[in-house]
Amino acid sequence: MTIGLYHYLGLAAALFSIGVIGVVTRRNAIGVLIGVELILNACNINLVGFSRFGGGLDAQVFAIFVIVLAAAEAAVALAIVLQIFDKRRDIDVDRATRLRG
Amino acid sequence: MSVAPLLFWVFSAMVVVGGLMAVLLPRIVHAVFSLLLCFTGVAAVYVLAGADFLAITQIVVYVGGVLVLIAFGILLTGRTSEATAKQEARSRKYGLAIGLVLFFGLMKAIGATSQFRVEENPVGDGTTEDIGKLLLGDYIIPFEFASILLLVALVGSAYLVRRPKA
Repeated sequence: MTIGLYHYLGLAAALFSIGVIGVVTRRNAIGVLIGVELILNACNINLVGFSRFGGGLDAQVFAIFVIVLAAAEAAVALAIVLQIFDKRRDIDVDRATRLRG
Repeated sequence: MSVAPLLFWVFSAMVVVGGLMAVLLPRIVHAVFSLLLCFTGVAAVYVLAGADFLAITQIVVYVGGVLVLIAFGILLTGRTSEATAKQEARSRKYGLAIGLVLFFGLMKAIGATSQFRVEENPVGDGTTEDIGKLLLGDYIIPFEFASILLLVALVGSAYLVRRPKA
């Protein structure tokens, strides 16, 4: 059997769902960050699949921008996590409620 | 029969298993090593899809950059506390249920669409040259904005982690 567009979409759907599981179950802030990275990777698999089947190279350029955003997001998020840990000695996202209204 | 479909399944299994371990393993350090498996599998899937430049970028940025950054974050913040681990274990089965429902919903939505073109594009001599031309041609404005974003993120994160002078 050959691999079609739907195989890529299915793989991306699986990885996206796994990322959502990570975001909703982890309480450790770095665990949540890992879930977000998985979701962004799922998005890239979708883009690459569409690039292979009919889309052309523009989809891959979009995927590069997604990677850039993911890298910037990881850097800023880790900076925030480190600062929270410095203040509270704990990075449980449920207990970081200082800004809650 | 060519070997490419088989490889696709092998690498997909790598991605899914690595991803599942990354979100379900209780120890966050183990999760990072499973994430390595997952990201490498994604790069391999890119290679199979003919996206060679993107595969290299994936390895350089994710495996070489983001993963190391996350590993440093873990080293600097220590292990998950007892109470947090307990809370995570409690919410895990609900999270799995949410993920399963989401996955089957997405698969149903994907199966219900029929307007996608499914002819395969031929694989050329590599995509690097063409992506370079696109980045510095049609996409020059987003490209410049991306570089400004990276600069802002660099300065911003360096500012955020500073220790105020006592």
